[in-house]
Amino acid sequence: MKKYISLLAISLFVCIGVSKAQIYADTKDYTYTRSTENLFLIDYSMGFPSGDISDFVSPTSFRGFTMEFRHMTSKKFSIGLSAGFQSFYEEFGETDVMVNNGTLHGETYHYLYSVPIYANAHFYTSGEGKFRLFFGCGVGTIFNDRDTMVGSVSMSDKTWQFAVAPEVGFLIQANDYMGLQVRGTYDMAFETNDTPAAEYYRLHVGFYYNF
Amino acid sequence: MIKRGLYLNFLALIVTIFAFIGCENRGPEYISDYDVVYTNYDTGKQFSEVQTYQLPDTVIYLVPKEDQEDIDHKYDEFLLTAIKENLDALGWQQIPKDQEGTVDADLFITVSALRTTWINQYWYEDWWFWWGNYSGFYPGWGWGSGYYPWYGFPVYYTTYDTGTVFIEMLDPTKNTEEEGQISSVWVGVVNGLLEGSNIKGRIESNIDQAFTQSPYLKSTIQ
Repeated sequence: MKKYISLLAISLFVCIGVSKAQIYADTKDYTYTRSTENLFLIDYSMGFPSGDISDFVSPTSFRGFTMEFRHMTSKKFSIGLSAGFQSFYEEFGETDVMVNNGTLHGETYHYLYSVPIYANAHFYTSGEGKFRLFFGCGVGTIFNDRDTMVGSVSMSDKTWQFAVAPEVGFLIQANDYMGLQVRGTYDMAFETNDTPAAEYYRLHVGFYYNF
Repeated sequence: MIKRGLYLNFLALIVTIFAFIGCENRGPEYISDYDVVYTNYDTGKQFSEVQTYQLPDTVIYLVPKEDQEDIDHKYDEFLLTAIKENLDALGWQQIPKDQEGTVDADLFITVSALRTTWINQYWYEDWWFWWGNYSGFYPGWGWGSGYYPWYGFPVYYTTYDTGTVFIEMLDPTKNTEEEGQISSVWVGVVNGLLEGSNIKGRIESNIDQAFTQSPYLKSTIQ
């Protein structure tokens, strides 16, 4: 756990440090306007399990959302915080599940409730214009609640896992106040002593607001 | 005007997203989807050596002593018959009690049952929704739902009953550390909602399932 906390601290320090450094590089070329200092993003997201987690639950999730705040440190860089929710579900039919050397039999359902929380930094390929492509990375944690339900018996495994999330997307400005945003994220929650890694892709579609 | 439109847009978006997210994942749909069967056994026991068993003529109901007299034993024969059929199918022979009331069998079977009433309680306060869960054991309670105006705001509750049948195989040759007690070498637990029109059929198929998922009981398996 200490290792992950240290990694998180270092990653945050690097993200913020890089963004702050860019402020000085960019202020020569661009002038700020009040309307682009901060962004608030909200979106609907779909999740696509990948890697180890797809053994637990594999179908695409259509239940998810993310809210994100970004502070523009310059025209081309931002730092921010994001929090989201993604819910995965799979039905296995009548199945045997091993519990304490015993066998539990019944209709079996797997649920994964995932809450990714990141500090993030983004780079925008252009500082102005209606279309802005961006790349970014989030560093933080994912709270994963893996539930297995067999008949009326429910078993839950809740863990906080260190996570990183590279992403790419674009903003399309609609007016002075808001616009459309589309982005793809690859969420990677690293394994712990007791819990395997959890990885999934998310496709976000939503809006952003300038303020 | 633009800002007002913006806020309305924003609000509509949030409501739409949360309405969509709020849709429950699918889960159990039918009463039988809640049925569950659990089995476990002593891995040191050689079930291939078992030839005889003793089965009681009554089911033990796990209720407080004062309620014992109110127990209805109408399901005893049905439960014991379903279990006997599975034991016989293993190639084991039932040994009746002798004239002294004693029996000498490889395994002694016990069958017990438990009825549990679960209460889910909901209450609404303003626009937000909270829920709580209370569970307890009240033998003989029926099923139902109601609507009670407690504490100035409405409360809605639902109750449902679950039934559990425990089947144990006791090995008289395996004593426990406690004097006078013998070890259980196999346990089968069948649990389900006591709702719907086919309770007997579900119990029977779940008892069959308990033996199906225990292939090590068969004499032919070493």
